[in-house]
Amino acid sequence: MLTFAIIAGLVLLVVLLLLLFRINSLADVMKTEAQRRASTSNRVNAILMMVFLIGACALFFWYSIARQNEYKLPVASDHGIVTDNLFWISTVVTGIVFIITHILLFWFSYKYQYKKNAKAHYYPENNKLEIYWTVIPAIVLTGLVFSGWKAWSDITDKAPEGAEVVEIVGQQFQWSARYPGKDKQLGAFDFRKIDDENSLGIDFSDKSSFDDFIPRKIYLPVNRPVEFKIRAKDVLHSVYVPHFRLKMDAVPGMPTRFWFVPNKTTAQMREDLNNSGNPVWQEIDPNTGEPKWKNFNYELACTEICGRGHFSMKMLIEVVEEAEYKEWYAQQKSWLSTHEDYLSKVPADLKELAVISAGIESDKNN
Amino acid sequence: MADENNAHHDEHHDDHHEGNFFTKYIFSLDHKVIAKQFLFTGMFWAIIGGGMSILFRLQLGFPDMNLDWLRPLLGDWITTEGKIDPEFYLALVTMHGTIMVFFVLTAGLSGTFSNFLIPLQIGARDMASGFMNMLSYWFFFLSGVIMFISLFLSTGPASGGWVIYPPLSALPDAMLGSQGGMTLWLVAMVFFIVSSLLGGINYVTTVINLRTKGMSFARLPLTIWAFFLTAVIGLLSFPVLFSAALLLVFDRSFGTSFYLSDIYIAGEALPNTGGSALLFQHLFWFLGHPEVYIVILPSLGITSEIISTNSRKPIFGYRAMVGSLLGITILSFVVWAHHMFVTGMNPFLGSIFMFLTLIIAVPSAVKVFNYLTTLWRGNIVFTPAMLFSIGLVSLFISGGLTGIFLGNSAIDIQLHDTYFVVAHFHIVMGSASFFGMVAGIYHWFPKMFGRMMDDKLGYVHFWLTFVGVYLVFFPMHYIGVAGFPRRYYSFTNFDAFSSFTDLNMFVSAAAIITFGSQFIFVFNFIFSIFKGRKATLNPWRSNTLEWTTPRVPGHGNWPGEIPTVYRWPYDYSKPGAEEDFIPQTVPYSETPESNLPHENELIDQEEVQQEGITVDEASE
Amino acid sequence: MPGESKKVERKKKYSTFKVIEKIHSHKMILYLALFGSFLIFAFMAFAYAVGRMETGGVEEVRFPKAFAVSTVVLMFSSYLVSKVLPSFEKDNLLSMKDYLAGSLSLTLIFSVSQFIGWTELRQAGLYLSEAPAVSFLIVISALHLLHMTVGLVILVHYLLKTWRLIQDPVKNLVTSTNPYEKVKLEMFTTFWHCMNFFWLFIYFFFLFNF
Repeated sequence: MLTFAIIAGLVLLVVLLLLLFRINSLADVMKTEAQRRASTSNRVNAILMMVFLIGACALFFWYSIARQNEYKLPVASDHGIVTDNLFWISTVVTGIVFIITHILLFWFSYKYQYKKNAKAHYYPENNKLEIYWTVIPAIVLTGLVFSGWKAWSDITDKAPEGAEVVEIVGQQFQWSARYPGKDKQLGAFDFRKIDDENSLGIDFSDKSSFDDFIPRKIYLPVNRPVEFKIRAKDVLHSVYVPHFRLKMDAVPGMPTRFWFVPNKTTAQMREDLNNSGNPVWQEIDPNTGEPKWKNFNYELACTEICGRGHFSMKMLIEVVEEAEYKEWYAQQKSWLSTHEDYLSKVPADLKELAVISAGIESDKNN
Repeated sequence: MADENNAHHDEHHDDHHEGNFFTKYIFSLDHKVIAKQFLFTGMFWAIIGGGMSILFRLQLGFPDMNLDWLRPLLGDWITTEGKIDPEFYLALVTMHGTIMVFFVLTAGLSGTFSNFLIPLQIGARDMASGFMNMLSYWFFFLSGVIMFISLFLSTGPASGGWVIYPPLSALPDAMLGSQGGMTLWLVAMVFFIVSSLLGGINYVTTVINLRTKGMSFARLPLTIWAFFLTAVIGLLSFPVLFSAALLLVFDRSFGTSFYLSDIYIAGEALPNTGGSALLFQHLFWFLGHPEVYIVILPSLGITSEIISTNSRKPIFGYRAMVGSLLGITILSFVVWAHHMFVTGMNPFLGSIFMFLTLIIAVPSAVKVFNYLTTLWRGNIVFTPAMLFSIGLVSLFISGGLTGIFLGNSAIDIQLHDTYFVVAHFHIVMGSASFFGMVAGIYHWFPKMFGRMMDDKLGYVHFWLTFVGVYLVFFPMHYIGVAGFPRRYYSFTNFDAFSSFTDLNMFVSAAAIITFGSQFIFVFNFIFSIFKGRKATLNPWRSNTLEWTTPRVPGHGNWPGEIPTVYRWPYDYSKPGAEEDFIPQTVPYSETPESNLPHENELIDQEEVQQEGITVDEASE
Repeated sequence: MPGESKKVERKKKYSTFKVIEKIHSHKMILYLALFGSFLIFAFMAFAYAVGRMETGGVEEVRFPKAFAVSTVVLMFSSYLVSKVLPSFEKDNLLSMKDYLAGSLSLTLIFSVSQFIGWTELRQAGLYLSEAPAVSFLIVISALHLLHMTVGLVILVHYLLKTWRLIQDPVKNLVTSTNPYEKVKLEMFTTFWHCMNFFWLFIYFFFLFNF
């Protein structure tokens, strides 16, 4: 019954509006052209311009300030601090232009609304003005570009010597990570060697591959350069760690890389969030029943559309202190030692070495 | 100017004045009818494309909502739990992008207004080739039919994003949409490219060769400049998309490896080696970036004309406006790789493209300042067209400024493929172009149909749309700064993206209201075609040539001789003149009271001009 | 308008731009269309060159000899086509017919020769899907042949038309006095030369880069 009443009400409303419209449009025919220009509507529109300007500005400032706790993402890498700075500098510069031009746009619209006896000012050209507003934006932009360019060339420069190397491999729809093992050398890979078990296509004819290990979670040492070597098995993916300000596509057939310095351990970040005074992190997570900061984790996501499960490609990253990292690293079992069948893929002359490097216990070995 | 050609052209073309229904309305060679065909088709696609966005906004804003009621429309794409299928979500996003960019804002906008206004504003009887013009529409129609059919495939339409990056789009195993849907997408796009090229070649030729007496390039309305340069951009960039698509067709169907290399999918390693996935991105964005300007330039041209007319002032800095259009045209071809900063492209190339990209911001800034100065000390009449033009300027500023973030490769690392990008291009390219298109419809409706659209409904439509568009797209900046990636079906998998459920809901609600308010426009449009108040000959008291034609111009546009042009199109509120506008057809000799000193010198030449000897201008 | 004051001294000058403005609009359409097609070839060639720089291309491959034959044949056809318009202007329909027929047969030889070239590649074990370099060569040459097919259709059309005009003197008079007929023939000649130029471009590009 209620639905019926609502529908009937809506229909009535539409009919009423249509009727009003028709009456109005019939009355409109009577008006002269000049009346139409100096109409009430013209004034109302001009006033609405100012209302919009003031309303929108108020909303913009209110939201930007009131909700900054939510949209400001914590940063946890050295270069991230630099790019964040650049972002905020750009925000201030463009923000000023944004506000000024909009004030002019709506103020002019309001102030110079049609008046019956007024005449517009014939003002077709002013070369000086044109030059000013060509040159000034050019200078401002050059400033922004140069700071951006400097940051960009530092970020994309070669990774420093001794950077921790981790291979990140994207596939539909998960990430895998491979560590080089004790020799700190990632073994070769070949996409033709991929099978159900050896899902990364590790090439066991390369002796560097024997001690490589594939953990379920990425561990990284704090305050040390880390280089991600990135590749994809099937389609494009993109490595994205929002808190590290890190993004790089994973391309089949074309390995890419990105290096960075994580500068906050996961534990430290949790503590910082707890003390940040940001109420968002004190909210209770309904899934765990604990405040959100307690379960904060660095997450690796995919940002290049890759198919059905694009939105669910997640891997966790844990940044730890150097000592803890070393300990974890030493505990990891090589992939070969947990998949001994693949010893058969090792060339005969390297088998002995493989057994030793992979850390396979000798009594198990025939 | 090129009148001999015009006469010439009449001989072998206009021998079919009165035809039957088919030749008059369906397979018409008249540019005005073809323009309307483009307009109607564009509006149809805008509703389809907009409707799709509402569907995926429902998913994003109300992820827990039961959508079983959509089952009659979407069938099995609604899962048993009453949700949109994740793969269909991607299909919706992809088709929304494709339809809006190509069918609505390229064909619907350029196709409509270039066709309608070029001959009318330059003083030509029709396009250089009416037949090619007709073909252009029907290829577009065919392309649309194919794209439409692809929506109903059991495996769904193309779903790899409107940029269709291979390998995802090349491998049928990678997703359902890369099967039949992708094939149809490619076929449709090939027809679309043919259509665009046929149209574009015609526009360029018509502007160069068929201008009336006295219509030098320096006297062209800015609309024509914009359409002309848009067509030039299209002519240079669409062949490249054709190459890219052709190679993709070969990769998909004939086992070649242009874009494919080292791939293991669906349990087997593919034989392809030596291809480069990046090659496609380069080719695609070589079209893709100019395409952005193909979309926005016509709108900028339209608003230049409307703002000048309704401010009752000459457009400020005509030459700077033309210069910035030219600058944008040229620069649009050297900035494409700013879409590819984090694709693994050589970082040195990245820095070069960062510099080039920020250069292109300068002509855009000049345009904005010139618009503002045109409004300054004007006598502004707020017609719906004027309101939408002011809206465009606002959107162009808002969206343009965020481009400065994204063009900076260091900042782009974080913002690339997040909602910040979505906000940026929806405001600057999507909404701004859309506003230009709507403004154009309101402004030239009297010329198209001989009747006026209702102003009051236009005002309501404008304010709902303007506020709505900001409420939809502005919040996306915050979501993007918070790092939310685009093309995500749901954000619940990540703690980092778990906030902003309220804002997403708000955006979706705003989107539904904004989309709904477009039907006010549709109603106004259709109602006014039949029942609108009859238009006067020059309802906006405008200077350009189209207002010298009869109320409803017939084939050939002017019943008698084509009028001669004596002045530029922006003599509004000239000091000394009685009226606040002087049409282009009024010679300087008739307006001694308002002539500027150098214009008095031109009076002698006008007589020469009338005798048919054309006056050369400082324009070339 | 500022700037207009300058135009007095420029009045008599017949600038390049002016010349462009005077071109028949249909010719302009043709030029632009040819330019567009050329871009397709140019960008594929560019893509090929870039890809080759990155991956090194195919080693030790013989460029098909038949393509050299094609090139020579096409040059001759261009020569014959260039004679068509003068014969038409001199009203010498018989020689016009001969020239058209000559270039028609040369074009057919060209097409056959292209097929032989592809067969040569296949016999050398270079299939379409073998390597991107081979794929590029085949796709581009096939695309060119597709363009030539359009030319072939026009050629046949003209041949039939000329043959009919020879039979019918009245029609002949009407046609030869129509200025648009000349424009059309000029356009056809341009198209033909352009197609040959495209092929030369493709041939030498691959000859030195394959």
